[in-house]
Amino acid sequence: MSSLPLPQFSDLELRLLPPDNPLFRPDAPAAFASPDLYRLRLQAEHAVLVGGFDELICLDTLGFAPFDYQVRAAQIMLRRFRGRGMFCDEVGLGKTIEAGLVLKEYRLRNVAQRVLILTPAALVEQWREELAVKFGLEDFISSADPEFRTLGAAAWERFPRVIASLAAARRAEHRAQISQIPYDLIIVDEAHHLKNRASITWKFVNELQRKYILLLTATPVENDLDELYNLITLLKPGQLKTPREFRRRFVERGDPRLPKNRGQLRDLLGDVMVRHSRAQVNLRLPPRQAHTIRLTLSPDETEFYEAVSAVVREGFVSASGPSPAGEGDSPPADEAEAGAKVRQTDRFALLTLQREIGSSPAAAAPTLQSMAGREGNPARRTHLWSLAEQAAQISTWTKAEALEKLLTTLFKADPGEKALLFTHFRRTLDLLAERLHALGISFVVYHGGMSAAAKNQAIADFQSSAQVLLSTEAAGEGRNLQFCRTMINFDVPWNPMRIEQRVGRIHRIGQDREVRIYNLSARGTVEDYLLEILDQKLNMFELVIGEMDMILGHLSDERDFEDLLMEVWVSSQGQAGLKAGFDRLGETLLQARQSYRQVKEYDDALFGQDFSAE
Amino acid sequence: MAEDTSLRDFILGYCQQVGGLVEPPAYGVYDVLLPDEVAAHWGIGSLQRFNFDPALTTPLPLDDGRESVSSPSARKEGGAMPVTTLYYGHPLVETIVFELRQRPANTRLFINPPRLEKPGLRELVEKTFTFSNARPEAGHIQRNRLYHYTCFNFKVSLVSDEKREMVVSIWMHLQGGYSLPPAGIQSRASLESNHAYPELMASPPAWRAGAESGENPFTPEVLTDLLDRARVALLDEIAPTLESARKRSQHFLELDRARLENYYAGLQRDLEIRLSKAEDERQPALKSKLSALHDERQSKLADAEHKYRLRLDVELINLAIIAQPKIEIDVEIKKRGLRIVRPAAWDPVRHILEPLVCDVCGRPGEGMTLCESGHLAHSACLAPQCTDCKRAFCKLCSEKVHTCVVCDTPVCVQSLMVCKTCGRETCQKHRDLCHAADGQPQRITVPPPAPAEQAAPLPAKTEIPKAEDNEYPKKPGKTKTPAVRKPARPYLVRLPKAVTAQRIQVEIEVERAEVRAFALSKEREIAVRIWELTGNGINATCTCEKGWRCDANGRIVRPADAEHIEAQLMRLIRALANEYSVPEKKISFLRMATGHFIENRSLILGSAWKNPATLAAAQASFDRRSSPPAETDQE
Repeated sequence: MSSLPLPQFSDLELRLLPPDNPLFRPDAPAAFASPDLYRLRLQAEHAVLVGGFDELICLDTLGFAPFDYQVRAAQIMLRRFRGRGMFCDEVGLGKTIEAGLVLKEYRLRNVAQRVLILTPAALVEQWREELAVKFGLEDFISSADPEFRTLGAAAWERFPRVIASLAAARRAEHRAQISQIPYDLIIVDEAHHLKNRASITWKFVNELQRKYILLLTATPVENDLDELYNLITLLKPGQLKTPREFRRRFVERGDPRLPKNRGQLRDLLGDVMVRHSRAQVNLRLPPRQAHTIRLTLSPDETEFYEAVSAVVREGFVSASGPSPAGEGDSPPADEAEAGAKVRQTDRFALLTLQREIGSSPAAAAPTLQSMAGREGNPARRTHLWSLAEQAAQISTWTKAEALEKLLTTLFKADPGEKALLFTHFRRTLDLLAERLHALGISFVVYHGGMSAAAKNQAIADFQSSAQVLLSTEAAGEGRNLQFCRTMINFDVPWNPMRIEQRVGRIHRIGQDREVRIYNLSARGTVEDYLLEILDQKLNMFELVIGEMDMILGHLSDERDFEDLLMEVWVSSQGQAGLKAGFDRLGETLLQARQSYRQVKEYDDALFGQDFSAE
Repeated sequence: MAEDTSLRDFILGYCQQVGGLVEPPAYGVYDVLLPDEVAAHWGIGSLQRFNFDPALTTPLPLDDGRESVSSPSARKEGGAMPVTTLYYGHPLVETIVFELRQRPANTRLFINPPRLEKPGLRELVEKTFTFSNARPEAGHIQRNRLYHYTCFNFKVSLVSDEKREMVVSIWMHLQGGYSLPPAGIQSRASLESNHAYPELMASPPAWRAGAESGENPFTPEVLTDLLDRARVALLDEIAPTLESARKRSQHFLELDRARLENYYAGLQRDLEIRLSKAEDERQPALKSKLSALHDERQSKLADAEHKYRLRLDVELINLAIIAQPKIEIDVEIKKRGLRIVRPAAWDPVRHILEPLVCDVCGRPGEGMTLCESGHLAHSACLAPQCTDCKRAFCKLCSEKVHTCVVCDTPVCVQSLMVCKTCGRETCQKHRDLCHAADGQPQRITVPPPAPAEQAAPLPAKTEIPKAEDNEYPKKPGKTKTPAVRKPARPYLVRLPKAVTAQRIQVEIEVERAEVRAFALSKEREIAVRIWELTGNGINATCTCEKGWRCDANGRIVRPADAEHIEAQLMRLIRALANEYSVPEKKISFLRMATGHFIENRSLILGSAWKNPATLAAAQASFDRRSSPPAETDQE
């Protein structure tokens, strides 16, 4: 490919692509097509021509239909802001969708090749899923991917499209490498974490090289107007002048939260910010009602649950203990790293085991067997094998029986009723399928291991004839399931965001009936304590979609919520200890919710209901 | 919403191309039967029903609970075969577009004119082709040859912070090597797929050395060179779009730069104030911040430049070769001592004699000049004319034109004087001045040359005593005597009685202060004399058989007032006519206005000649340069 500058356009780079045409190759036979085919060929080229951003070309390539306001927001970002701006819609209105539209548009137009998406750690996989399913962008790699981690710091250069947690990317060993790479597009989700100009995170994002940058946050201002200034400065340095001038012009003396010259400030913000409110976009959804069915496990089940929980607690303690080299010794660096990996693996296996026993004993059996196979201590190994056998021998399945009663009641009241039944574990799903079959309830299964055609057929069958869609977390991604209004959580995910995602499959635009959510929970289990916090304390199921995410984001503890739950479960002793521990966690969430609501009120007052760049 | 006819034609056309059958539409629905392998490749059934109007369809549940789409009429008929509504973005449309884009699909087309004859072609050639210093003579033999146009279809992508694409077609004349607008051809002829003149030989591309008739003109080498020319033509074609895009990018870049500069200047100012007030132990940290601020400023400016940098991608989609027979005739272009032969072609479709092509820029042209090396060139493609012998060289031969070290005027290698003492090069007039100033050349300033389209006028000649009338006033003598004076030479050179002309044709350009007079004999130019109003007066340049001996060449005349200027020019024209024994009634006047020559009965000058201020300035300048005051030509 030749690249020649034009003398009269010295700032223009000219690339003359070599002709891929047999007439220019001495060795190729000169074949001519018919005039009709020649014209069709030109028409085909016209069909894929890219014009200006007046019309988005990505809309026909999406796996869903975005709302009009989302398309408009993307167009504003592309045309008016020229790729540098902030999406500040209220929670639940789809900032990710808007950013995804911009990203897809740039990719289709071949304007952005090297892309970096920075998000909270918990959202990395969610971003990857959404980009793949909704936008057909399957060539993103996450920084947690083994292939990425294997290459170390060199991976940032090697992979042009990366989704990474902000915390990981800003670490010293990565930061130097990332700062050298000229990105075309950078997207920062939950950008309110960049509110402090003196923080390492802000400085890190500021020093990144980029043509375009998008910030996503529902709450651009949390404590004072300087935070707004810091975000805008990341997008367009100088848009709000220097800090001193900004304070002088736009901040009331003595109160850093109170703006002045609001009209001028709004005008300046209108060059970089898009914000929609729920009232503005007229997003009305029917109410949703949550019912928690608390069960008492049978004695066998209770004994099994407590025995496995004890194994988990013991294992957690040892997985969090000193390195294999023994106390007082400093193991070599590679051994320490290997040790850390082992402990991380053990913790993950234990966490999974604790969740499995909350789903079904049968779901836990393979994990117990696997742990037994790896266990070095003979006594523990024997114990694990016996627990695995015990799982297979438990004859009662209280949750499944409760489910049967629930479904019978539902279908008796309305034979045309449909139910979306969620479970996280394939083993539980298979057993439930047997149960439903035995009951004579028509159902279809849906899980990530099915082909696209099989998935399509399952959804079609569910809509047309089947009463139950029995699914893992994969259900309904990008699909319209609004014809169904009943959802049953056979097991409850420990991450509230996952619960919200499940609800969001049916509680969305297009749903015109009240949504009913049934949670099956066994007394004394982790899920029971969790539901008490989420349902009783937080009224989570009545919150607006996306607010749970905001509340979790206001937790001062940066660890995953699952880790927080596990810590309480493992460290608490006895029923009283557990209750106290979970009560404390609940109080923490309530404080986080209070903190979030204060921020929301402040932002609503600052930007109003009618702020719009349109 | 109406049926998308372009999409319909596109899809159905391609279905037919791959061997499918298309039934005429019933109620807006087209039945298409595709070959099995094609249908399998596309992942659809062989029998399809296509609709291109979304308004024509309504959802209809089928017996098995699935949805289908069918037209109301199909429902009436009881048919339940699903109809597929196609639109841009539909997977099948995307598949077809993708498949088509995998191959270029070049094609050949033919223009078959009904008649291949042109009576009087020789006379037409000799009348049409004009040259500033040569004359054409058409050959006697006419040949029917196959000429070609090549239509290059380019996809052009303009990328900066956004991307715009367009398809641009450039037609190239294969034998001429130049681009031409297709409208004149497409409006007059239909492009056919059959060749009515298969027996004709192809004419070779004249712009390639060594090409011969009958050879295949479509070798990869020829097409590659032609493609390069087409790309240049493409850039000319889209220059307004490029300029508009460049201005847009520049505008936004300037806005961003201004914002960033203001911002960082403000930050720097604040930091410097803090630095000036800070205690000693804080100084290093603040200085470090200043340095970091500078680096950040550079980085942000680089980001902005990277964002708005314009890039143009040019990709060839495909091409069409259009063949058309034309009548070819050789044209001999002659001047004293030189003769070249070029083929000319009569186009029976456009009814024009195709122009000859400049050897320098490759573009067609009229009124070109034959350079001493046998190249044809536009006047703008000429090298500076030799001031001594008036030989014309083109830019390809510019190495044959040197510069006199004394007067900086151009001198050709044949007129050049090389001093044996110092080795410097001078014109003939200044041959003894190359080392006259203490071993260095004596510098003599001559009046600035005329604009590039005209031959550079010679500097005004020094005063030479003459015996006869002073129709042509002498150049004002110099106030300072040069160190070395050349001996006077005879003024009058009597014209050989045999050199006469039949008529004088005077051409006046309205927008420029220039009058050209051609002495013609049998429509061949004997002499060309040009008068131009400059800041120094009326400059005269002459190209005639007298060569450097012509007294009129290089003369400067004091211009008359606005009301008398036409009479003054008329006197000069009559003088020319007298030189060549042309009666006054044989003087014709052509006035160039809006691109066309209009015949006038008398000399009518444009306003550029009659501007009082211009004339007054020229008179004043002429007077200053002349001492004693020179005589004017006014009676």
